[in-house]
Amino acid sequence: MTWTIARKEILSNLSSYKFFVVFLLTVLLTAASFFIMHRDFMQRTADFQIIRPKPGEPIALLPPNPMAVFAKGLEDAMTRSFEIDAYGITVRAGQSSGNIIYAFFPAPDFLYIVRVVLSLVALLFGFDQVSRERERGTLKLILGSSVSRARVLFGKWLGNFLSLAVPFLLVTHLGTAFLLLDPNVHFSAGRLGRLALILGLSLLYMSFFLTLGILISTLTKRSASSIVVLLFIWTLLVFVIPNLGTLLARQFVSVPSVRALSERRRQTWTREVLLSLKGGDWAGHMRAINDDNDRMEEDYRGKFERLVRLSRDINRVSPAAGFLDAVSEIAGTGIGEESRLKREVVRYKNSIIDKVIANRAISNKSAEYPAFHYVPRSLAEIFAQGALFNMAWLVFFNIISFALAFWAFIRYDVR
Amino acid sequence: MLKTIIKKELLENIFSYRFPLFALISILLIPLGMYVNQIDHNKRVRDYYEQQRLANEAVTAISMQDLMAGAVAVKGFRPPALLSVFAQGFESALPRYYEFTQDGFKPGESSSGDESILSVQGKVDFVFLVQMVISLISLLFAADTISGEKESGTLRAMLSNRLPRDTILVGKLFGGTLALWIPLILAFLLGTVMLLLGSFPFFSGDTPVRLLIIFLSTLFFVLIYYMIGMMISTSSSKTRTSVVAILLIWVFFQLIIPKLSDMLGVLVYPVRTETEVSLEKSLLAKSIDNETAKELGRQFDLIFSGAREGAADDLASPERKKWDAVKGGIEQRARERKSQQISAIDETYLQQKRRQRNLAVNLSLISPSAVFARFIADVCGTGEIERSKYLDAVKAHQKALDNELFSKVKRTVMISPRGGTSLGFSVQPVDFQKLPKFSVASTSLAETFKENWRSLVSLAFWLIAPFAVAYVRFLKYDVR
Repeated sequence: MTWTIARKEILSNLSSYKFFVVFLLTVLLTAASFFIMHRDFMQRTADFQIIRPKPGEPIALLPPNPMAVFAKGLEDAMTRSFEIDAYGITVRAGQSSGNIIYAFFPAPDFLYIVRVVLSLVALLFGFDQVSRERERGTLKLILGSSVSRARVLFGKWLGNFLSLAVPFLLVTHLGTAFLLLDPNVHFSAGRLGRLALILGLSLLYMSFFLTLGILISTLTKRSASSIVVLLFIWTLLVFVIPNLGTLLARQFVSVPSVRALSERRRQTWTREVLLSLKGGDWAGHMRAINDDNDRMEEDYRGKFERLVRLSRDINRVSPAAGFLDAVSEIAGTGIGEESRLKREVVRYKNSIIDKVIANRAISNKSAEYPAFHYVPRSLAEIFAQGALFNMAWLVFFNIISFALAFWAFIRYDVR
Repeated sequence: MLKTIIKKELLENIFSYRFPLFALISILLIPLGMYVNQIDHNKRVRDYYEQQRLANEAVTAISMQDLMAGAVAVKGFRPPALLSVFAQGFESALPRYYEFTQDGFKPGESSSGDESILSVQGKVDFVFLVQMVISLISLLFAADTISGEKESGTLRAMLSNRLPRDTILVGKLFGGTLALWIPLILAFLLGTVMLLLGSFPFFSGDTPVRLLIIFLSTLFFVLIYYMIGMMISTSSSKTRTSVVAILLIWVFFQLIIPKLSDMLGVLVYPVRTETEVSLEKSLLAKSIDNETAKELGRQFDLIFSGAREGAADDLASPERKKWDAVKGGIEQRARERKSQQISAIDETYLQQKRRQRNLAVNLSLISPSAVFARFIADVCGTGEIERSKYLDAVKAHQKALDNELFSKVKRTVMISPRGGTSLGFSVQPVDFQKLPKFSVASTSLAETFKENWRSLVSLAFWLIAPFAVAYVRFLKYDVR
């Protein structure tokens, strides 16, 4: 019986104009997204070929990450080049493809489309599930037969979920296939696994909004008011709350400004150099500077990470924020990955700084250093550091909204 | 009669369940966004002054040896835009500073840098809130103005009175828009008061005028979206249909058009990246330098091959005089050729980029929200105009520094045909205190309007067209 209802839902969706328009919009947007982001990736790769460090240069620079096509996240910050010299670490722009044109509107990556557009589409599928049937009077007929309410609700959910998920997966597969045509994009089995995870998360996220739509449609009498309420909730969840967390967190944690820090570092350096001119060994002074810098940096990072953690925790109230967090972490462009990269760069610096200082003291410019190796976190680590929690959180949101919808539907007055 | 309808619409909206939600969202979010952006802005300003001070200190510490070694880099900083509090625009994407060296300029880090972590979830500024959140809410308010009355049957009763249809339409339009404007105006005022308390230099220059422009265009923007919503509402007989249609239109304007115009821009006019272009330029410079050095070496050998010992160092010898003339000529030609070819590369690249950008910007004129965002960003000094002015200023400064600083040291490299390289210097004194200062020309309001006339035309179109359509549809409407 459940399947019959699901089939009816799918068929009625397929024959509606809503489905057609929505499908068209999604295809258009996804195609545009894959195209633009792939172009961006190509330009980054070209840039990387030019500025990649020569063997022996003490520069830490990551190659562009093809997963950024799906979730751009902090890719820009992660592909800057970190140059190690006697001063410490100098950060340079790295691969900025010069396409500042995208800086005006948010980057149209796959994640953005799912987070903003497809959640809206899911709402559109869910908002009139119960109220429309009541308005038309068909709900009375269905419930008058011997089918249980739970089956009706689940059948509706299943039918709509399938009519959302199948076209979505089709379009995404086409996009990925297009991406794989480029020989520069190398997707190992691990990356494909990550992609599958991202798709799974996206389905969970869309299912939450679908269930939310069904829930609100059982709580309201008219589908017109149901969609208005839903859109308010959607605005709050997708745009407002994710930003509120950052705003609030800033009020509680104060972080010294980055620039002031880096300039203070320079000042310490000047001071020590002046001391070293008066006598004493130069390398010793440089080491003193570096220890000083490391202390300052550590203090700063500690505060900054507290700020980031707090804002993430507040943002979690919205499944959209948690979803974004989890997907970008899995894609390797998230906050956790970025701070790990920074730590690795510091470690790299510490491992070669003595050599750099010693070589500089004898002005040996042709010295060679070991290259910087960065191994991205494994999925297990990513899960352990928050992604699993976010995933569970999303599942929890799904269950809660479905349970509430069930509760409301059981008590629903059909008249 | 018009007044009665306006009053009825206004009251109906205010007492609906949507109104408190909307009022809460706007009164809470808009001032909060302004407040946070102001904190950010103040931080950026402090950093700017501190960095500039340090950069000036660094300049006074330059020695002639550094200059001779080609190791001098002068930094020019862009002052943060005051009104970025309202519209971030390119503010965090533009490089904070440019570094000027003998071989040209290169961009420094952009201000997003480390703090970008915090903007992962997107940036909230006034423009974003209006463009994404308020626009959707305006459409929703308008969704059932006509179709709702159709459904409940009150429209029939209303039209059976002696009441022209256009009065109803206009009354509904103003009533609904007023209901939207009231919380918005309150929120804007509250935000401005908060800025004033945070020592925002409100009365400096033409800031009040700019604020007024932002304020008025926001009100117009809301009006436009309300009218678009009404147009759809008059065209459909059921509220449900009109809400779905409204949603699709919103997605189309807000999300699809901006992306699609970018995509078409990239597709029609692909350009190379900045790094590739600068690589091409440096390769060119290197090859010209190399050729010049070889040429100089050849000439040197020709002139001094038959001369007596020490003629090269004797300023009065005829060979030396001839050599000086030849050398000057070769160097002059090389310099001209280099600057000509490099500026040709720059020019073509800029032109390609401008073409791409223009296509994208022009296509996005279709969407009133993209137009609004770009226009306000320009008014706030964080838009396209600021970007191109910044680049112009950087180019002018490079030229000035070339004249005042970098050209004072001439390095002459010679590669002799018999092998071997020699390096010579000629140095003129430089007063490091009196180097030209870097500054970005400010944009006047007249310029902003002149650059944005297309946007204004597009906004005007969107102000008139939906109303006309709604009017015609409503007049033709069959009440039964």
